[in-house]
Amino acid sequence: MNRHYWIFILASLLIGQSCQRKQTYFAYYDASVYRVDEKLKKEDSTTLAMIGPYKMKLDEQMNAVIGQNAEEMVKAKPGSPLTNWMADAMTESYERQAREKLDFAVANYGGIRINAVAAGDLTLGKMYEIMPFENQLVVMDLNGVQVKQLLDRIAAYGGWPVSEGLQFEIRDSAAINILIQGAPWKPDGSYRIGLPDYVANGGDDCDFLKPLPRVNSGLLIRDLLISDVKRKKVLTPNGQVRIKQTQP
Amino acid sequence: MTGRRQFIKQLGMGGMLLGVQQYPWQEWIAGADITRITILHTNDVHSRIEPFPMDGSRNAGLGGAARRAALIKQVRSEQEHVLLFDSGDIFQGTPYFNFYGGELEMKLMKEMQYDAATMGNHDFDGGIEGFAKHWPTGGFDLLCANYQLTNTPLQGKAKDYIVYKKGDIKLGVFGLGIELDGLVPQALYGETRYLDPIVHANKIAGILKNDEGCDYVICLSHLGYKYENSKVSDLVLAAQTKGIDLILGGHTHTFLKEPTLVKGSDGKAVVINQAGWAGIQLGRLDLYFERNKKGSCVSCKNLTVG
Repeated sequence: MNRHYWIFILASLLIGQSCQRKQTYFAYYDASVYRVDEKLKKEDSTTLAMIGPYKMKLDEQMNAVIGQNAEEMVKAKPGSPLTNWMADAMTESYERQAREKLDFAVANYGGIRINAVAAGDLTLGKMYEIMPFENQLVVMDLNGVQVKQLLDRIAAYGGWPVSEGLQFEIRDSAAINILIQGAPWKPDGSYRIGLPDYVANGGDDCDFLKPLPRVNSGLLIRDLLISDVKRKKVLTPNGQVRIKQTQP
Repeated sequence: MTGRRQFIKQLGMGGMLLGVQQYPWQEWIAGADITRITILHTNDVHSRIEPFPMDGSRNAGLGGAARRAALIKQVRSEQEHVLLFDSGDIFQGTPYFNFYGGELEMKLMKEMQYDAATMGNHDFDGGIEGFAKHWPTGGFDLLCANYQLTNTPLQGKAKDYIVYKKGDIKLGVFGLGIELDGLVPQALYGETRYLDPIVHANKIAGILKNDEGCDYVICLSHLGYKYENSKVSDLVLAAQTKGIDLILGGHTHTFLKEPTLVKGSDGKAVVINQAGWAGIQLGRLDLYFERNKKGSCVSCKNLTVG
């Protein structure tokens, strides 16, 4: 009896073992990262061959000179020749194409993707470097209070590109002494402004603009800049101070 | 008892004599087999076809599809099981996108044999129609579990998830996208509807683990690594869900020296990784799976969450 008992145990153990299904466990992982730089000598020839024709056609168009830049224009806060040019070009090109006036235009500081535009040839490729994104100009009618809210936001950022129609001072991260089209800002005023859809859609902490009515111009900001260069042929930097940082 | 120990010792010695010290004898004795699956991943490549131009800027000379393709082909020649993923924002950032609408990006992804990707907000920049037009060229699965795509050109084409079988291992992969409102003009994303990523991640991870019997669940996320405010990020996603083993993220262009470990809602570790942007990095994770009949794991290492 005792012996049979042990045989039974042994047999069931063996059967149990062989019938038991294999189980899968995640055991561990090794993480590493490849830096894709010039130390990697190898470039895939098939990939290069695929890129070739696209690159050739693209370079041809991108290297096309569309105008000249008289002097280097840099991007800086609270304002600089480059930020002035961008906001002015947005305004002027829009006004010509839409045949309506804007009181002023603004763009977010991060909307200019280049730190400086060198003197000399302006190529189409340079316009794509300045503004690679497909953002369009949006037109909004804001009341004075809403304009103040937007300018306070710009002040908190230390200054954005603003067009010639707008001047103000920053004190304690707020906009003061605001002039619009040369006239003092009025809380009950009505102002027509141009801005990138990115900002109108609430980008860069402008959530309060999101629910407000707007008209999408359908005009890409980059295309507005390109038509400005083509029209003026030569850009001359405008260093006018539009936003002034004042000490409290 | 001593006989068995002796046997093991001899086996070990034999291995050393043969110069095969790396062989996992312990697992072999336990009747276990080890499968290695190599995961390669990118995010936010942003149409960076060529390396950054040599203009003295910070990223000059970095990236480039031809170098990345060479790396990927090298890894494929060395490893049996390779999966290649992208976590969105394939498009936008160089004139290649503005001029060709994403055609070349997709051709190159086909050449590199990407297995799956999720959509980033900039992948809508040519309109959802633009993405739908070029995506078939890429030859990879499109995974969007929290975008409702009814009445869009991607309806019935994008999937919630997919299951890959590599050797005896089943890996479930799904994708999550970011809230589009405020990031992308509505005209571009059309009728795409953003759904709660936490709710859908829990649902899909549950399906993959319980119904599909997956051994490992990977989430391709374009939610972003981390935010100062309460916005859903990969860190939040990991902490508030269960069933996800690995999150391959994007959107915030985050360079991580090593993956981040976060405790999921069930207390289990979730691994989060992101590979910067613009193809400057190619991320790699080698996953090791053990199969045996012992009822317990021999080679498993505990993932400690700091």
